[in-house]
Amino acid sequence: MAFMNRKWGRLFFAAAALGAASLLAGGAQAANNNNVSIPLSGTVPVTCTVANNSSGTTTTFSDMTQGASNVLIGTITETCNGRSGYKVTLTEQNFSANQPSFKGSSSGSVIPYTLSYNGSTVNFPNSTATLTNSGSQTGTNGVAKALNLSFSAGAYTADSYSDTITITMASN
Amino acid sequence: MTFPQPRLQTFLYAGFAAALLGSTVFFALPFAEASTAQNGNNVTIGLSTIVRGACSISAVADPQAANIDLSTTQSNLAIATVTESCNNNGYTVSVSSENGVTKGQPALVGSALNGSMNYTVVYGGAPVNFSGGQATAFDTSATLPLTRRQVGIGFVGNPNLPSDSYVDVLTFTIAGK
Repeated sequence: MAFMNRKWGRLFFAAAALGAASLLAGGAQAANNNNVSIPLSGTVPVTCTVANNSSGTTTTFSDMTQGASNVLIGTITETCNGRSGYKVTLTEQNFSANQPSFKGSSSGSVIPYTLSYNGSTVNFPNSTATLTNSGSQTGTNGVAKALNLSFSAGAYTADSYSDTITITMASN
Repeated sequence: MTFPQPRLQTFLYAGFAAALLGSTVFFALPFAEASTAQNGNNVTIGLSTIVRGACSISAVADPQAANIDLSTTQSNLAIATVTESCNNNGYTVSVSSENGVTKGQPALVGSALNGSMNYTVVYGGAPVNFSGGQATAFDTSATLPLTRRQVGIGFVGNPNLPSDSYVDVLTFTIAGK
């Protein structure tokens, strides 16, 4: 390289360096970008429902003096995908003397009754009773449970009696 | 600017040619000097070129890839756009699912309860057939220009899956032939 003067020498090395840099840049790209990852994330929200079948919409007892024993008033289907389970509660409108009760529309008289849910007696510490307390989710089709009502025969005051019960589900 | 001697001029021309050709050209300086020595009236510059195979792949994820509603059925939910670049005479794009290695096919797996939902992958509009969590998403024997392809997934929505966050990672790899 002794024959090169200084100006042309600098020019040559600058050009050569440019070419070398281009080479290196192309190689790095090929080495580092031959794969790429795409993270995926999905969610399933908590969905809890209770459904009452058609047989339990409104149940009418034609003569309450005769009493009733274990009459099916509804079939409740519990469905919940909460991973910590769920709770089903029942709230009764005319809770009286520590018992769920029918109430006369005119007289205000009450006729107590009892409930069973899925074959077990429902206990009322107050107007709200716990029907189910599960630590796990239900299956896809849920769990169907019968709600039955009983009351004793008696010489009740003539009136029109009614009550309303409300069933609620919540995930734990 | 003083014009350089003929031999130096030849040497410089070779240097400029190399710079202009960038990463794709190597030049043979010894050839130039040897040729000059054999003939004083003209000069021949020998050039040897190597075009290096360069394949790269990149992806831009769609926002919904990070928040997929698994309770609703999807046939081809767009999750990303992949860009393929390869100057080889043919290349393949393979894809692997992180959970597919153990599940046998791509699956979103719950982080808390290990519930899982299988899903399918659509690459550039074509279904991808997995085996053991891996698949060839695209295969060509041609040299293609830079190509973008949409990635989608499909699954049967299941609102009764345990409530949870479900994750997986798809990795795309390009390899020149």
